[in-house]
Amino acid sequence: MIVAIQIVAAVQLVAIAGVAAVLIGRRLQAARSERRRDALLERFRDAVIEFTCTEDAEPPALLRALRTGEEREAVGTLLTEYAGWVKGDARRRLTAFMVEHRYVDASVAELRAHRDWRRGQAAKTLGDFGSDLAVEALLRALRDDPSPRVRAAAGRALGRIGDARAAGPVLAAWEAGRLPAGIAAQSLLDVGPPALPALVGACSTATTGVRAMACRAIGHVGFGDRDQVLDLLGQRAIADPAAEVRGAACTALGQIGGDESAFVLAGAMGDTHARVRQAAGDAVARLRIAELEPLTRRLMDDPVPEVARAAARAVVVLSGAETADGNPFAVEAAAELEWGWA
Amino acid sequence: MGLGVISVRGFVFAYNAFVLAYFAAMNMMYVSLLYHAARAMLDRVRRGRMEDVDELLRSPLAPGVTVIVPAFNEQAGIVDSVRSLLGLRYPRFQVVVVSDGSTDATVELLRQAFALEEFPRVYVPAIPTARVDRILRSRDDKRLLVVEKANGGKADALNCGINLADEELVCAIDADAILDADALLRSCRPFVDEPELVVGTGGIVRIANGCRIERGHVAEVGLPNSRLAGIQVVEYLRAFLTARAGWSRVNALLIVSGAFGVFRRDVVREIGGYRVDTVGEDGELVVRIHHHMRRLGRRYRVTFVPDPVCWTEAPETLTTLRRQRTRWHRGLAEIVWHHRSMLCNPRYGRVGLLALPTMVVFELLGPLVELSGIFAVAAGWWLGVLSVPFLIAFAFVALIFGLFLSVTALALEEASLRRYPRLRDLGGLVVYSVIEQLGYRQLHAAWRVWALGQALHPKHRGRWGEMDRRGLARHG
Repeated sequence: MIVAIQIVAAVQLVAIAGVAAVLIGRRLQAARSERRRDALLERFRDAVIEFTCTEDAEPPALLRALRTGEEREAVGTLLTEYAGWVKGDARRRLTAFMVEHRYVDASVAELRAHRDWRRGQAAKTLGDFGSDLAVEALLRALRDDPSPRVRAAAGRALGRIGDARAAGPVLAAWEAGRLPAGIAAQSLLDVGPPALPALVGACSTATTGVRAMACRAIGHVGFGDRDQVLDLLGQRAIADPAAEVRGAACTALGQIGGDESAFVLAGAMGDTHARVRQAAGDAVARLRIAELEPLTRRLMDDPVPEVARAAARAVVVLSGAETADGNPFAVEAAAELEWGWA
Repeated sequence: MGLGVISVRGFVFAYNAFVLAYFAAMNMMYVSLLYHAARAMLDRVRRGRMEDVDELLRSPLAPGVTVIVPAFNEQAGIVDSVRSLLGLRYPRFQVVVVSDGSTDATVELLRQAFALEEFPRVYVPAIPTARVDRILRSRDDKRLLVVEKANGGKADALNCGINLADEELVCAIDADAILDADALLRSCRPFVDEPELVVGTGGIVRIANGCRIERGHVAEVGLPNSRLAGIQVVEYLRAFLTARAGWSRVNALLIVSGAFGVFRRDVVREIGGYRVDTVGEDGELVVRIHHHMRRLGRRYRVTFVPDPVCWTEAPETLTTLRRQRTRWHRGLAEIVWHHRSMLCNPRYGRVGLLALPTMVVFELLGPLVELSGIFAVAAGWWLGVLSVPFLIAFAFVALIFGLFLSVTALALEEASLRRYPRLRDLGGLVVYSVIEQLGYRQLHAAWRVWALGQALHPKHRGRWGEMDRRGLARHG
């Protein structure tokens, strides 16, 4: 028994010594490579900034004469960093440089790497580059990659590139449960108005979460065909079987609707679910639909405090602070208005 | 007499065999947890390379967060804390400070610093709380709300904050804690990625003693001068990077620290908020979420996110530390008692069959076995049941294994987050890992056994000890 225990102790001691040695060795090695990397980044930073900020299409000589893989990697890191922060001509210039110097090709090739984290990192990098040459490869990754993380990275990257071709496949991956709702919606949001047909389509899927998130996203994207979109949101706000979706549709109407949404919001204010009534009250306040004031005023007595508060805010916005009328929620809303927060 | 000695010898021998078996089982459990934690941390590092933390900052889909700060006599650091919170990088959040019957200048200092004025906010106690006296709001920053209420305890203050929360998520944070600027961005990310699944997240809590703090932010990370606080740095790293990361990976995380946790407001309200009759309200809430969600058969996840950092002040005196640790252990006992129906109940899946039993056997009763084991081994030696070489070898293995767990936690920290930039600090942590095994650990076990005794006594139920605060700005 004692021998067994001694063996266990010896094994543990060796393990501790090994871990401690790895700890220190790794720290020293990391410090050395970080110093080298920082030096390279500093060496090329000014040239990349100059290239990013000046209209001159020609990249500085320093960027055209990269000798080692490390130099190339450092410039790639800087280009990725700045490409994420600039838009328009500057971004196009950086993207063209990255295409010409085969940075995009290298990352596309990395999408076939064995390790999933390398594939995911490549997808992220391609999103930062913003080159539409990467769209097909990213779509393939979104559709076929076995790793959920890589698919998520590809979904995000497609959004950042903002190519309309991404909308359909992102929606398909979302519906199939191959892309988490938040990532898919954000991706479509990043694609912007071209993604609207996909978002409209998502409003009719069987999954409650997808429909709700799609309605929310439409509220931020805006509309192509105004009547069609408002009509769709109106239908969802009134007739969707899930309260979550009805509430999200009301919120979206509050963001992009107008006086024509009055009928729908009036119906939503009578919803059995508090979340929907609250969203309708908020929407009325945002859209300032005067004709709904009497209905909203009645909602101030709703037994659910969040609904009463939303209704009171709407009433105060529509009729002024003097209409507080002793209702505590209206007094609160009037104070908010007075403090300049409405 | 002879027979009596023989039976005592037999009992001591049997008990020693039990301690040995218990020790082996505990070590196996910790090793398996370590394995899961290592995978989780590695995963996190790799995932970090695929994500852009700032993406959420630009997203209109980011859920709003109400940060709730329960405060009882926190004048030493409350202004810095609130200033730091208002400076967090997150697209939409409000801060609700709940002064829980403070008798010092907590509210007055806040009033002066943030131009607070009384505000006619309607207070609806959807979750019942002690009386709310007044609600103040900042003229300068509409995100700040301060509530003055009658003393009802930390859980009651948190419930008051939940009642006032306007946003979808609620974040509970200790008044003396400091969050990294992007802590909310990181801890809310899972809610955005999987809005239907994630109901709670917890970040890592680190010790701020020894760090340089400027304007409510940790400007430079360092080790504390106090040895006691230094040992706690190692303890915290082990607890968070090994235990929480490991349990989270198997979706059986039972504790999200009260110092920093984010939850879905609707779920917290649905289960009635924090329980006020326990001192372990943070862990109890999480276990109740598991209880509730699994009973209803809903899909959900409570997850540990290792990179959002919350810095907190560690006790630097034995008395304060003893109060804190006995309170924690009493809290653990209360959690187990309140949710005993989940224990070994297959209806609650991994939580009922694995996490809770492990908590009872190795966390709750562990100190009892450890201390009684020391006495049993000594008795075994005295009675001649155990030989001295065995005794030495066993003690050595026990100590070395503790050291192994601590050093491995440091390795996880080094491989993933690396918040201690100086090699000297890393060396210091290794030294603290050794010191921890020699006296501190045994003292800690004795406190926890004491806490178990307290837990059985109605006088102590739900009672908090006092914590002397120096204020984080004074550290460093």
